[in-house]
Amino acid sequence: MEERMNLIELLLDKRLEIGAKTLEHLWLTGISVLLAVVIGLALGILLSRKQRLAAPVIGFANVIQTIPSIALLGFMIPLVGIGSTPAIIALFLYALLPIIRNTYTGISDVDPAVKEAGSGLGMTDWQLLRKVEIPLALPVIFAGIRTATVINVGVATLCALIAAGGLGEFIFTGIALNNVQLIMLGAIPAALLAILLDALLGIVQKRIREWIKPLLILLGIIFAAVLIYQLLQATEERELLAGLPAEFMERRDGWEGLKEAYNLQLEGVQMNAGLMYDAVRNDKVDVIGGYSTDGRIDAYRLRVLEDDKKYFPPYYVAPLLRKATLEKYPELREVLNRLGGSISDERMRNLNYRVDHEKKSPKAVATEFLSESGMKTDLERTGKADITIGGKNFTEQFILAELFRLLIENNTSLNVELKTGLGGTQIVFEALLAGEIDLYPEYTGTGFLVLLSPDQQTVEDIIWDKDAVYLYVKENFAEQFDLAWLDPLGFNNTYALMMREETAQESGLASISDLATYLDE
Amino acid sequence: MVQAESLTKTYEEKSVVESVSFQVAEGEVFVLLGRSGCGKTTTLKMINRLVEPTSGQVIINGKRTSQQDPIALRRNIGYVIQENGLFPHYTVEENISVVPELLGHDRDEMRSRLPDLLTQVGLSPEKFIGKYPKELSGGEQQRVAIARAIAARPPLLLMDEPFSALDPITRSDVRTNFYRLSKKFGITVIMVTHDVAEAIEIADHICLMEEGRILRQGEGKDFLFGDNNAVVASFFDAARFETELKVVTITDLLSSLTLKDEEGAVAGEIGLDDRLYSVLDKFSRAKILPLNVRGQDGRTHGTTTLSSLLEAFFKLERRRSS
Repeated sequence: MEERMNLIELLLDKRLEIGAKTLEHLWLTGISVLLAVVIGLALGILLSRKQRLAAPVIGFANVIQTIPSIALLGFMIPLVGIGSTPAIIALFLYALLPIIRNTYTGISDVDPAVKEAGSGLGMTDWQLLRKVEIPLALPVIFAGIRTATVINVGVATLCALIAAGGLGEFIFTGIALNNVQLIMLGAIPAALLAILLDALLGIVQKRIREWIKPLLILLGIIFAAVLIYQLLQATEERELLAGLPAEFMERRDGWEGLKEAYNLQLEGVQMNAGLMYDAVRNDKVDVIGGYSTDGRIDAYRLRVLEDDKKYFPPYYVAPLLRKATLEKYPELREVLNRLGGSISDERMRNLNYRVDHEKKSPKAVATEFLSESGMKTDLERTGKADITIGGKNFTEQFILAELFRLLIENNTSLNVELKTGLGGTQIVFEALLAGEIDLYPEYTGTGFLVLLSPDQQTVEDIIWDKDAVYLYVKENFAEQFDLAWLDPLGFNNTYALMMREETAQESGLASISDLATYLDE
Repeated sequence: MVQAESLTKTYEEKSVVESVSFQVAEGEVFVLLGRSGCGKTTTLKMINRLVEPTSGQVIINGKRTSQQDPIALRRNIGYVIQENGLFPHYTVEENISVVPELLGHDRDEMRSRLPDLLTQVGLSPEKFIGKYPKELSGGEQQRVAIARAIAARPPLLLMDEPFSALDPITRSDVRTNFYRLSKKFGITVIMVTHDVAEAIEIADHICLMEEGRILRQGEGKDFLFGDNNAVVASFFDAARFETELKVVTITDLLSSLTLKDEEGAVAGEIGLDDRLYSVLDKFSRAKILPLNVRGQDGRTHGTTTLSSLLEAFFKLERRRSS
C-alpha cells in the first residue's frame, strides 16, 4: 500500500519530467518510423517490381534486425556520434524490415487474376499500383507499420544509453540505483505510448482513403522542418560535452554535486557506462565520468583529471564477509589480509587492462598477479564448496573474486565456489545477508553512502577521509549486519572525470579545477 | 477485323506458340480451342499485348498493334478472364466504371448507362449496383466481369475461359446471355476455351490448337463432319455424340428424312434451322406424336416424329463414316 502511494506521489512529483521524456520518446519513435515508412514503402514497392532484388534486400534487413540493439548503438558511435541522430538511425534500421517485408509480401500476395484483369483493362503500372495493389495490400502494410512502431517504442528506451534521452533514462537510472519505482516511471508511459500509437494507427488505417492527401502534406512539412533543423544543427559547433552513466547522474556524490563543488559549466548527457568510453575515444563527447581503475583508461589513452578539491569520496575496496563464516573458518582473516595494501591504483588499472584490452580471462590475470607477487597459485580444488564468493558484474569484481579464490584454495583446505556477475550492489548485498554467498569485494564509499546511508551531517564530517570512512563502515556493518570488513587491498576505485590524453594536453588540463577555469573562459 | 500473322512466342528457347495465323471477321465469335498448355491463352494475350510476340504481328482494323501504345490499345479491347478478376475493394458500380474512367469518359453518362448494362448481363440494377464482389455468386461475378469488359463499348472482346469456373447450369445461362448480347451489339469476340461443346455451340469459327500450332481452322460442322486427320478427330471423339446433336440442323437431316403429311394432333412445331439437340431436349415428352416442320417462310413442309429424326441422324452418321 505504502509502495503504491509512493509511486503515485513520485508520478505527480515528476510529472513535468515524465511529460518531457515522453515527448522525447515520441519524437525518437515517430521520426524514425516515419522515415522507415517512406523508405520501406518505396523499397517494398521496388522489390515487388524487381523480384530478383527481394531476397538480397530482405536478407540484409533481416541481418540488421538480428544485431542486438545495444551493439547497433555501439556501432553508431564512431560513425555519427551520440545523441538523437544515431538513435534515430538505429531505430530507423530496426523499423525498416517489418515495413519492407510487409509491403513486398502484401503487394506480391494480391490475387494474380486481379492484377491480370487490371493490366488487361488498360491500367498503367502506376495506376495498377495505386488503385489496386496498394489498397489491397494496405492491411498487411499497416500491420508492418504497427509492428515497427511498437518495436520502436521498446527499442527507443535503449537510446538513453547513447544520450538520446527518452523514457529509457528513468529505466536505466532505476536499474542502476535498484529503484523499482523509477523503472516504472519509464516503463509505464512507454507501454501506454505503444498501445496508444498502435490504436492511433488502427484508426488511420480505417480512414486512409480520405486522409491520405492531408497526411502526405503533413509528412512533407514535418520532413522539411526536420531537415532544416538538422542542417542548422550540423553547422553549429559543438560545445564541450560530458557523457555520464545513469547512476552517476543521480548519486549523492555524483554529477550535480560535482558541478557545484567546482562551479563546472559543462553540459552532461546520460549514457551507458560501456558505450561512454567509446564515445570519448571517438571524440563524440569530451569528458566522461568513469571509474579510476578502469582498464580502458590505458587502452584508450585517457587522462584522469585530478580531483584537486577532493570531491569524490574514497572507494577503497576490501573483502566484506559474514561474521558467521569468519568464526567458522578463522584462517580466512589472515589469508585474505595478505593482499592488504598490495594493489595500487596503477596496478589495478593494469589488471583490468589485461582483461578489457588484452582479452585474457579474469582467472588468468588473477593467477599472473599472484605469481608476480610470489604467491602460490598451482592448487585448484574441486569438491563440495565450503565457502562461496560473490561479485558484481564488472571486470574488476571478476578479477578480485578470482584472486580471493586462488588465495583461499592455495593457503587453506577450503573449497571455494564463485557466484560472480551479480547485477548490482543491492543484489550482491542481499545475497550476502541471506547467506547465499559468504564474501565479496565491496567499496568503502558504496558501503557508506549506499548501504548505510548515514545522515547529512555524518557524511559531511567524514566523507573525504578514507580512514574515517573505513572505520565507520567497519563498526556499523558489524553492529547492524553482522558483517566484517577485512583490510583494504590498497587501491581507490572512485569516480573520476577523464578526457582524451591529446585534448587534455592541448588545453593543458590536469585537474578538474583546470577544466572549470578553461570552461569559464 | 483482327489479323494474326505468324505469331510466335518462345520462352528461353522453348516455343509456346509457333507461327499462328488467323483472321477474325467483324462481329463474329472466334474460338481458340485446345487442351491446357496448347498455347491458346498466350496467343490471346499477344492480341492485347499482355504478352509480346517473339515474332509475327497482330493487325486490328488495319493497324499494327506493335505500333500502338499498349495501354491505349488495351483500353479499347474488352478483357474477361476465368477467375473474373473483379477488384475486391470496389463495388459493382466502381468495377464496371473502371475502363470508362481510365478513358476519361463522363462520369454521369456512365452512371446513367449502368442500370441498362446490368440488365443486359442479366442482373437487377437496384440489387447489385452497390454490392462488393465477395457478396455475389460465381455466376453473378462473371456477369459483372462481362459488363465491366464491355462498359466502354469496345469493338473487340477477348475472353479467356470465361465460363469454365461456373457450374454447368449457371454456365449455360451466362453463356446464352452473353451470346445474345454479343450478337446484339455486334461485338467481335475472340474466346479461349478447352470445352469442345462450348466451342461448337457458340463459335462462328473455331481454331483448334495443339502444342503451339494450329491443327485446323473452320466452322464447327467442318470439325464434326468434314475430313479430319486422326488428331483432330480424336479431339472431338470424347464428346462427339453430344456435339454432333448440337451442330446438326433439321435442314441437314432432310436428305435422309421423308416428311409425311399427317393430320390430327401434333406435339408442336419445329423450324428448319433448329438444332437437333434442342428439338430432342424440348420435345422429349412428345413420344410418338408428330411435329410440324415449318420453313423460314412460315409454310409447313410436313410432319415428322422424334424417332424419324434420330433415324435420319444415324443414317447421316453412317454415310459420313463409310
